[in-house]
Amino acid sequence: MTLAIETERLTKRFGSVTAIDDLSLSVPSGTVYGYLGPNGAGKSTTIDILLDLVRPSDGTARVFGYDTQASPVAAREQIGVLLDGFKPYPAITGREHVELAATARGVSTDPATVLARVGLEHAVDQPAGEYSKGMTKRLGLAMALVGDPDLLILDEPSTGLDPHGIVTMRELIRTEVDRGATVFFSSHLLDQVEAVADRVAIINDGSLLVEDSVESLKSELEDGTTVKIRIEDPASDQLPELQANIDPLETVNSVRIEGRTLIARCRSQAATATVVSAVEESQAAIDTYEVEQPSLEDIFKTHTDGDE
Amino acid sequence: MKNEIHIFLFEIRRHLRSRRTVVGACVLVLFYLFWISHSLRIRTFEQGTMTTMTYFVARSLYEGRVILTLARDPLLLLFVVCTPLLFGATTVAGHRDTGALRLLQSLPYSRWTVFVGLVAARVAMISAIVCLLMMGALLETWRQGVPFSPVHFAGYTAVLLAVTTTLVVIGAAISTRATSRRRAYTSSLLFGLLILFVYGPLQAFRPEAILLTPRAVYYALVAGIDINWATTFQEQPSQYRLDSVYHYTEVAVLSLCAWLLCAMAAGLYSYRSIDITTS
Repeated sequence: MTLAIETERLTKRFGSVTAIDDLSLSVPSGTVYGYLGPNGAGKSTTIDILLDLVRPSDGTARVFGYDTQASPVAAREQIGVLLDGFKPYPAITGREHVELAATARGVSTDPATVLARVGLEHAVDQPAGEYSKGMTKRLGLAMALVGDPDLLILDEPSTGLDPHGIVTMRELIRTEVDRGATVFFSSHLLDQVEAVADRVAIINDGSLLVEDSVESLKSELEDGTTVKIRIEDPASDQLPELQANIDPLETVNSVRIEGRTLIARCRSQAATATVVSAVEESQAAIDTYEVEQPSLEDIFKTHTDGDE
Repeated sequence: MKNEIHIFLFEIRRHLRSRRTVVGACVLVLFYLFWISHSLRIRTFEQGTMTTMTYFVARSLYEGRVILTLARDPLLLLFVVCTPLLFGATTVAGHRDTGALRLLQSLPYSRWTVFVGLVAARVAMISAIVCLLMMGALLETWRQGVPFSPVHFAGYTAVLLAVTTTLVVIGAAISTRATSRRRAYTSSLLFGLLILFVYGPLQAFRPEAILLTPRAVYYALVAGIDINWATTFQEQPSQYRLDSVYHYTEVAVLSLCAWLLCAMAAGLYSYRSIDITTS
């Protein structure tokens, strides 16, 4: 398996503050990799190190095998990047920004076509200083797409975008992955990450907390799946009795009653079947039945103690 | 080299479209042209005398008057020293402040390429300002009917270009260590004042080391334009008038080259090692 990004014991200290602490990360090529963490967790610093904007205090980082310190230009040739807080040159037009990226990459491209991909076809020759926040973000994305890079790094790509822009961004990510590119992106909008990411890593205080596929993380989450069973015309003692029967089950973490509804938090999706069976065995009539999967937000909160 | 030229051209285009740069350059040129015009008008030297140049011996004083007036003018000296330093001071710090440096350095350009390209663009801009100023001075001299030597004018323009280029590079080197635009300006201004004021004590106590200072180098290079000007810049009566330190044009050139190379090397080394974060 080819690794698009590989970091080994990466550490970065800014004076007495440790932004990245002993971070080892492997991003397989051809995947959409979500990089999550609370504010100040070290996400942008990791990206800065991959781009050689920031020098690590210790450890190494490689992009498609190129050491970002020893061969920064070769590494950056593989990368198209949208930086967090991307700021263009105010007096330079969108077309010229794209041309700058194309010249740097040594490729010839039609700036109008690239800008049209991100929905900026109407502002090709407009100075970037006149762009709105969302348009600026799209311009940054257009520059990142120039030359079809093998690795697309997007730092908080959804910030400042309207819903339409977010949909465009998601479609672009999918298009790029279909082309064979790897997409590494950080975001606070967990539903966005969940919608496109194959794998995610969660960091906090500069340390990697967990790294796996989204599905694996969900399945490993204790209290992961919740089943809500609404009972049709229950007898007065039927629900407490059900609760007493289900509570001792090994696969069930907790069970409570809300009105006519029995809510059980199970350790896995498979465990919900046990709860349903228990209800059916008690001769209770099931009115409605609903299973809620854990969200990425649940995973995130579990690993970061919700201290964002 | 191709990449350095790309960055250079991009920067020039950006400067030309930047209202701040264009307005700043225009104000600077117009102010100094006004000053030059004023200086040429009020100074009426007789042949063989020059107010503060007691020890000046020249065969063609009148022809040298324009250039020497410019070269010895304190306000123009401030322009020669401080403007390029301040102009160079925003090379890295200014881009870092606006976030544009992160954009530029996230592209597949080496740090060497970006630094050289940015510095070269600054040098080109200050050179354009110097050339405009000298063309204006030439026109003004001609308009006032003051005789002048084209060779002296060309020589002085070359000296100004060499000195301002070096000082832009020094400013850029200072800029790499500054964490904000304001700090870069302050550090460069302090360095400029140091250059100007260390000259006096050094001339009094260690005259043999004076050519290490950019101000003395500038005087020596101006003196090198005409062999008779060497004693013009001598503060005290020279014991060996023909052995004035300002005769050593080659030493001045070497000293200037040393400043340029050291500043470039220090700037590059520093720029290679800094973290390009937003300040």
